[in-house]
Amino acid sequence: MSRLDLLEPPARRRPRWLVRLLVVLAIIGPGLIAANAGNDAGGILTYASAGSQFGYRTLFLMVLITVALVVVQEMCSRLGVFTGEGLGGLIREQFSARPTFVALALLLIANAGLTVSEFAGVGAAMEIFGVSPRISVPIAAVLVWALTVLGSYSRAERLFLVLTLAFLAYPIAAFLAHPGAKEVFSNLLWPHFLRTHAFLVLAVALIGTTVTPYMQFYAASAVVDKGIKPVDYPSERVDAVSGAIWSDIISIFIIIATAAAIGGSGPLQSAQQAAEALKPVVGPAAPQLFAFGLLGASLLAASVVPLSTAYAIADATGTPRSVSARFREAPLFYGIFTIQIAVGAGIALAPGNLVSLVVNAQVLNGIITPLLLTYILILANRSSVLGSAKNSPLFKVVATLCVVVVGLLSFVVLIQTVLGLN
Amino acid sequence: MVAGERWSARAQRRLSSSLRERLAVDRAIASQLIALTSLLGRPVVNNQGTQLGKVSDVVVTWAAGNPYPRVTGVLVSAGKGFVLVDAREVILSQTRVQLRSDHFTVAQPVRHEGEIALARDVLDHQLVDLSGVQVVRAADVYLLDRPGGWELAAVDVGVLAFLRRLGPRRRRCPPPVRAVNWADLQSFVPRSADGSPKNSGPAAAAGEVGGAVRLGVPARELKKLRASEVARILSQLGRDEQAQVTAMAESSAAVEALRQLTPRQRDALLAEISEADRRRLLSLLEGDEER
Repeated sequence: MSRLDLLEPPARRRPRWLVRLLVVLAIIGPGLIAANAGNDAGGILTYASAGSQFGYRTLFLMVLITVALVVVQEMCSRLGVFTGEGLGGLIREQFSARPTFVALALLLIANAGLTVSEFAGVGAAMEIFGVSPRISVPIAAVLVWALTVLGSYSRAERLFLVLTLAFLAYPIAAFLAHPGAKEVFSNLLWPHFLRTHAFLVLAVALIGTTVTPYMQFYAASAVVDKGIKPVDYPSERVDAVSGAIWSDIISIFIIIATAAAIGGSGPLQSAQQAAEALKPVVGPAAPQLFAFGLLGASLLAASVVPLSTAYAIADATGTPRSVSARFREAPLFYGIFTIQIAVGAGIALAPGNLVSLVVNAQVLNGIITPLLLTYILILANRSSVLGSAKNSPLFKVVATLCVVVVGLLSFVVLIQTVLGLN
Repeated sequence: MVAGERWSARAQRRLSSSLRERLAVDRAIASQLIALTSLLGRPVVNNQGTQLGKVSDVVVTWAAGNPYPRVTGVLVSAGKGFVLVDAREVILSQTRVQLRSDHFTVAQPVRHEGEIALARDVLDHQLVDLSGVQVVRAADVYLLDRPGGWELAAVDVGVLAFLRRLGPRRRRCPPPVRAVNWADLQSFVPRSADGSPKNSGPAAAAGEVGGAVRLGVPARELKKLRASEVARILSQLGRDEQAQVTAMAESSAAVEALRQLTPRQRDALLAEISEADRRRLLSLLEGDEER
């Protein structure tokens, strides 16, 4: 084993300031960076909307969602580590044809909704710079498609990731806005829920944007790509759990900062309004800083989300899948990718409020999430899949409880929406 | 106008003739071909026609020298239990399984060396298509009636073959969409269950996974793959399957493929294979490095 370490290529020389920055980032933890990348357009705007519409009232819900997120992400990375397969393939192997088709269709719908919200995010961000969505969205669609298919995506990805660092201003903003500490903690530790349809819908949107189906498929594939051994799982578990907690801490800061700045002003109307929350940190430059962050997050996810759908479906159907293949060699893979981008950008161009479009896409995700979670739960309970690493009895109870509660909430919202009970 | 009509008549003739040919071929093989997905769940009847149970799985056995494993048993679900009926005591057809006589022996389903339960171990699982050099998934499995009995002949890897399983069951066996000859496929030892007796259902009933189930035919074709092909295949396989391909591939190709992985992926892979294979590959890796 030790000989193998010698085979690693020697590190390239980097400028000293960069080395120092990298060391700092390594200490802060890759979890923070990953968590930040997880806050896509849908996440940012939904959390901001929660803060503006209901103040601190959703904070306790976010604590509960964090528990669910930890449980779910842990199961997904365990499935990836112990089987070496993505969720798409595992579902195909373990369920019969019809349930597999249903799962893939649900993932496709959820991710299509998410892709719409990413392009809406691009449009909303560029509106702050005075560019009409009619111009920015088609350009973004072509850009993302071309970068991914023509294979120079990895460099662009890093740029997008750097742009999202703008959101690290939220925790600072949350402190500078001097929110009432007593009020914040009382909302964090005790539910202050409202028994209204609007609150319930937003709760499902928060679940949908935090416990995203796409993140579950991504978590399983990511550990497979990293080549984590079952022996090394304990440290991977720490990474998965801390990543989930970090991600939600940032989300909670977004809600606090927005609630302190514009809380109680009703549903979020524009990205400009969400940027208000960053004013305590950067003053008049807040809209621009926010727009940079939103643009980076949206572009990042606008490529990754359709790509992960294409990977999952191609994996499950056993057809070629690789960004290095030619279009003719992997028609299903590229077809799914292309159609999702085209449809996503097309719907994002429809006239109307971009922010409410984004939040509605998260509600859709929230309704689909419990259904896909059921598959994951069954997989992680099976000893034929995970052997001795399957869910322990206690874990099974906690995980089932999470899925049932999320499922009930989504079901109530679905019924109320269908019956028109607002 | 006249030319157009003539063209369409000719096109129609050509179409109908190709359709006729296709149907003729289908008819010719129809009675000799069974698609696994259409057989599963069909009734198992005695020779008076009384239903005794339903087809739950089909078991084949590898034999040295024959690339096409012979069907050796049918797993029948009857009530809440499962029994394994010897293939010599039944008549297989597309729509049902009939017992030859009232006296038949049933066995407790225990997996033996070289046995594969097709629905559990092959259907929907990953296979390496060695002719097209890619990782595929079995959407259907075809059995062919040969003079010596039914054999596992081919696997369908077409997306349409998967999609047609969503619809209602057809009366007859559906025709192949994209069939790959079984001899061109590399299959894998199934993922091991922990073998706990609590495990129930057809998966467990098809037999416990033994300590060392070996798939008879050595992977001669796999040894012909180039390093880049091995690397591409490895990147798409699950953990157990990766380890099996690494152990079976030609050493030099395997080493080169290992080199294309990240150090962590390489470590993970080497940890899965047998001690002897690991030592062999490591010494080759190090040898190359020193030169």
